[in-house]
Amino acid sequence: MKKLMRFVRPEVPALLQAGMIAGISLSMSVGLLACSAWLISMASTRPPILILEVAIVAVRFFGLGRGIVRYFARIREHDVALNIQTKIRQSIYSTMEERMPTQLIGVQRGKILQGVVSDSEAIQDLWLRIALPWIAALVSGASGIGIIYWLDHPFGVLAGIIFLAAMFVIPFVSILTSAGSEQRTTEEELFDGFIQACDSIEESLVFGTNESVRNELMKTQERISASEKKLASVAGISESLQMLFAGSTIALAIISSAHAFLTGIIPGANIAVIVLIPLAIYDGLPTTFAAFSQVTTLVKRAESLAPYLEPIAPDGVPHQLSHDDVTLKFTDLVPDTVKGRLLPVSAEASPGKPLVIQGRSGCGKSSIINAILGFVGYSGQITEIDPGSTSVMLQSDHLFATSIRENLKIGRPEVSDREIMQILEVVELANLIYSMPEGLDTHIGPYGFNLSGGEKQRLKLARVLLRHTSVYLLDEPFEYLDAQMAQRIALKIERILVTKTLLIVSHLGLRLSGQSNTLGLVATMQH
Amino acid sequence: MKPLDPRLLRYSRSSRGFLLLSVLIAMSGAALSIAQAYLLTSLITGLFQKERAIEDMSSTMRILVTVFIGKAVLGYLSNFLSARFSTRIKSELREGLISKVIGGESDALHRLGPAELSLLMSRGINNLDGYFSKFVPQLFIAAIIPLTVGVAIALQDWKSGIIVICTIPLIPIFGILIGRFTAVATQKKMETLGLLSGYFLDLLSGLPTLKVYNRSKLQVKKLGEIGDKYRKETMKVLRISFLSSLALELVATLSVALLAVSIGIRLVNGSMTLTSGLIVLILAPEVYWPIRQVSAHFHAAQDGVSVSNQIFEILDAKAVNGSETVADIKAITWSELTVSYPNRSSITIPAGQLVAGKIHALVGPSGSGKSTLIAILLGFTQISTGEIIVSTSQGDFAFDQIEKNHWRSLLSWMPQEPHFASTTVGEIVNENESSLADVSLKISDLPNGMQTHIGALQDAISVGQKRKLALARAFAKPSALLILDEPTASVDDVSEEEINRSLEREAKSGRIILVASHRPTTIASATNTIKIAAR
Repeated sequence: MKKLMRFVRPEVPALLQAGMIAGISLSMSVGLLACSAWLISMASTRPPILILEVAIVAVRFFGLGRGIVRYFARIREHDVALNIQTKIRQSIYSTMEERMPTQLIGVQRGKILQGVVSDSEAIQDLWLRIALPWIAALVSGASGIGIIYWLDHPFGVLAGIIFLAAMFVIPFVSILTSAGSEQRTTEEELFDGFIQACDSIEESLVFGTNESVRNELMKTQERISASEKKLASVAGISESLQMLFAGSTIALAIISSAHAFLTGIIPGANIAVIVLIPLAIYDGLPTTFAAFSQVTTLVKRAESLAPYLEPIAPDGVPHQLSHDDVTLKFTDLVPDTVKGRLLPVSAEASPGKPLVIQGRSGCGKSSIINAILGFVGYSGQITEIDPGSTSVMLQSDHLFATSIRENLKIGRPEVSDREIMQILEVVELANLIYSMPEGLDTHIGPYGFNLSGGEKQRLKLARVLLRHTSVYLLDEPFEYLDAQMAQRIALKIERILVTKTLLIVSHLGLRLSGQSNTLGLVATMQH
Repeated sequence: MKPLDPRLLRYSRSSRGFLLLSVLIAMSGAALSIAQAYLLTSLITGLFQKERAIEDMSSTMRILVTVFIGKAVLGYLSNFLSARFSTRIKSELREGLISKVIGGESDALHRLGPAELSLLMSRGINNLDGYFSKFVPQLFIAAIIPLTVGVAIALQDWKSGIIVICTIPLIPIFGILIGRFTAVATQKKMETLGLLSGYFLDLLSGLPTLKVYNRSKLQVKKLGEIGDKYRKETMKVLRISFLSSLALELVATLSVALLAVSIGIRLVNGSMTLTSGLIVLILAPEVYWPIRQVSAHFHAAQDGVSVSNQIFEILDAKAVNGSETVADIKAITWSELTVSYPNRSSITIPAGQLVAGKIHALVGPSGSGKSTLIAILLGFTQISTGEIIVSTSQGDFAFDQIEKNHWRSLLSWMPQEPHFASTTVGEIVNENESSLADVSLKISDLPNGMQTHIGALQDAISVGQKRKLALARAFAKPSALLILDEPTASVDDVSEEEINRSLEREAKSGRIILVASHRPTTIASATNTIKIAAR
């Protein structure tokens, strides 16, 4: 909660302002009823009409103003809440970004989404549906009690005490009775289970595991339903408490004003005012208090976001050191992930002399790239490389659900369409792009749905080739391609990157020019 | 947007009792409010005009206190009932969605993607909460209470009664007018929201990529820009949709003000009693209260109603499915087939045939439609034109005649990008160790052998091992048709040889084997070739 408050604090004046405006609009209903009561009581004594003139104007003013002020209050509230939401999202993203890659890999995808989108949106209810209406109710209550106090001091104090008690006791009871609901966790479970089930639904249909997936989800849904039922049984408590507080205030108002009138402290026209004001004050409260049953859930959700809430870091400028002539060399290297399964290996790559690493799956080809990048530990020596002057194509590379151009521009934002088309020629995608009605602006659907596996692979390859760096590390760049195409593209890449240091990991038997080195990896048989 | 979707009411009908009870409770509440107005007035006028001591009116006070307690009890009951009502409908909808989607009866997965679909299941359905627990019961209450109270006012003072009864219809009319005005805007807001959440998932899934490209920091700013754009768009929508509540508030408070002034003037003239005046003043807000509640809940329910459109699209989907079952597959023959995709030219697949006991290599350049033919044979993609015939020992069947789940039980498949449920290697291949040997996946290469746990993110094993595991899973399932999509895409030559040998053995046992591949040796080991030309 503390971390959350840090993001809300700059918005507190705006929040208070919105609460005040809402409070004024509620006070206007109190004013409307108070003035009307006085007007009617006074009129019944048939005074000269002039005495009533002020009350008539006030009644009309409150009747008109209430709705208009409420409208502006609503707009202000939502604007403030949305602003806070954006700030929270930004800080979540930048925290995750800082802790990459180790943090993100362990987290389930569904959880991330639930965390960012759902939690950050849900917790805005903390101020929009809970804090703001409470402030507004307090303001309107204060104005109503103020009028009562002005008319009858002792009862004003008593009504004030009862009102304050209601403002704290009812939310407290509401929070207490709704606490301990496990709805949030089960909902998250359903969400995670569902996103996983969706990813593998086609396979589960073929392999007949969909029934068990279904049963698992149904069980979770039953748990959600059971906890919702439990919540339903406490849903009405705050409303009935509010009725009781209102009722006792009104009953006391009648007794007290009877006494005050008979002893001559208040004129008769004020009886109706004192009795009816509590009616107006408590009228708007049920929705305010009902929202407090959500507090426990919302605070839990806010706390689950806490690890992701850090101050927003200033924008980083990607460094583009372009010193050429880097020699990448490793000696007696064994990455920790394949320790005991790979004999120590040594090789080097330098401009004009690319290195190809070959070997069977699981023997440690990708681990060598991960060791060079410092993602995994290793024994042996590796020449240090500058991450800012290195381009990497990993098997886990992601294509974004945006246009082809935007995806390629991640490689180098300032790249021109001409350069893009040149590189697309290299990876033999140019004709496909030309045939698309929207060309480079074609969006690749959810998860690149309408590109084939080989097309996606070549798009990722084009993206890395658009970079201007001195070292290129390509992990299985030719997956899903036929051998001839892979061979053709490999030779073209060697040609355009002739002044750069190039390392390719591949299970294919690639033949590059005479200058290249090939390192064949053999896994040891013992375990 | 319609305030009441008839499809939603179909679900409400199953809980008619709930609605009836809610309305009964609301009616009793209205009766208590009318009683409260009479009691308060009699106490106030008793003090003010007749100067009676409070002790003389103790029975009236006692009845008033009983009324307060009665209102508290009814307040509890109505909340409890509507919450139960909403819980029941929400779980019905959730169950319906789970069955439809997991049962493969809806194409929602392809249309929406896993993220948006999951969002619909969790937050989407929760958005219906306000609709069912508040809006729907309130709609019935608003239809009954204002008129009842209006009549009670008219009985006291017919002039005030006319003012009230004339303004009641104004409110729904305003509501409908402005509701129509906001429908498009609300739809737009929902779309932005879906887009935004999709954008977030995408951004976070691609964080490792952005990090490697040194582009990840720049996204913070972009996130701010997109959030700002979303805020502005939402505010535009809200500014309009709040107009409807402004209109309602104005009608409600202005008519109370009008009543108060007219009563005051008539009291001065002596044409009205204080008792009637006070009763009307106390009851007037009660007329507008239920209608204002409808409007307040309408905004809360609007999101839910948009969501319900998506939910019912999925629930009402009827998958094209046959009913025939077949004991075996001797051959599959098809004429020229076309499949149309959004946003790209349609794919044409030339006529071809698969026969039992043979290995068929499926070849063609990347993107020509190999994966599409496989999706057709698996029953995941609908063909736009063409015909597929399945020959069995019971005779020939059109592909569409065969029940899809039964059909899938006859086949086995290795997809290009395999996924596994969170389980162990042993579970995946039915504890069939020989299937691992078939694909040259060494158990000793796996961190924990057969017990190696393949988690949700499947990081325990390398990409190549994962593909081999998917191949082993395909081998392990007894099937008449074995479909393999690039089984040798990332394996070395030695493993490839082993896999090809396994394929030949399986073909000899009478299976139909279809292999999409780029590897010359894999293609060469096939007996038949199905060629798909470039687009």
